[in-house]
Amino acid sequence: MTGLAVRYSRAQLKIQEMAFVIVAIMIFFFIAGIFMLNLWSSGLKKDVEMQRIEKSSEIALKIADSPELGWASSTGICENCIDLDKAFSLKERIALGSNYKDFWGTDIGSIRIQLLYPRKSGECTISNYPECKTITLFNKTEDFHYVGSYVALCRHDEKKGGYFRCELGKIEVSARGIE
Amino acid sequence: MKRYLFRQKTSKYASMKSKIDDGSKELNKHMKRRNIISARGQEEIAGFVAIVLIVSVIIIIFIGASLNNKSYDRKNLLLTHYIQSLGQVTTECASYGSSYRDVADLIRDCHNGRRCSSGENSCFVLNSTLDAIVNDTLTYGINHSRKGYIFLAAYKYGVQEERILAKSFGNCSGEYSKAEMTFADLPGIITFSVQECY
Repeated sequence: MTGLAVRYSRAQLKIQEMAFVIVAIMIFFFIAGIFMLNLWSSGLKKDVEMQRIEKSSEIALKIADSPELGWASSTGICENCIDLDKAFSLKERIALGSNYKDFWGTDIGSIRIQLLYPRKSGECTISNYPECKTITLFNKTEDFHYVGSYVALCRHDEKKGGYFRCELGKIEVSARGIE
Repeated sequence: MKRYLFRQKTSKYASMKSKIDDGSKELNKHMKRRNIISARGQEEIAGFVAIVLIVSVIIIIFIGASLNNKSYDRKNLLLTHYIQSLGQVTTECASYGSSYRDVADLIRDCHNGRRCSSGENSCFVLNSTLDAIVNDTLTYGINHSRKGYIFLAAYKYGVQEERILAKSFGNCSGEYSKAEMTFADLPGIITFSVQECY
């Protein structure tokens, strides 16, 4: 009887040992799974964010390349270049009541062009143009988030005998569906 | 007497024999126990090796997954537009009369050793213009999502490669994305690139 009891308790100990190992392995795999899932989802989030930015900047560039804003010099059509004089005159026309607000689609809430280099400030008006920072073509709503892309802002500069000058800027668009 | 002595001797031998038998039995028992212990030890070692193998395989999978997730040299459309627009920016360097050179032209001039009409070195103007543009248009630093930027310009002709410009802003040691623009400088090409570090 004593021998049987000893053998029985040893078997119990073995089963207990195995159970502990199985539980430990399960916990390890569970933690590892959570870690993997976290890694995978963070990568996915990054990809989605990247695609959203790329899509939004494509929309902004499509607007920038439209004939109403695009820059064409004697040397040819410039990619990602906005004619700042055209943009300013378009802003003035829209302000006078032209129906350009829905020209790029009803989903577009607002379009603005910002000069980044050289550093200037203020909204462009007839009195301060071109020594200003922002040209807001129209702003239908403040509800949407702005996204944009870098562009070259080109114009004819009357100084130093007159020449074509390009500066670095950004076109920003807010639209329904862009968050 | 002789018989008595003989009996004593045989009983002595008998007791010795029984002792030897007992000893060999003990030895056998000991050997068996040792065999059982060594078998159990082997099992434990095999289990340990299996666990080590499983853990190492999992670690390798983790490392592979995390390295794959880093996506070095990722293409960045926004950065591509930035470098393309930067190449178009007009600088203060004039040459050929009243024609002001843009950044791309200035890189070309710097490579060919041309000077601005004001007498300034085109490489010097290129450096100062790039400094001013980066300071006004990009935000970077330890507390920002972008840790730094590296601008490179290189002339390539066949296997020959010559560095024209290399400028670093902030800290670039981790993950990064890259964008570049290429333009002609006959007979070769110039590649102007920017690296955004996270």
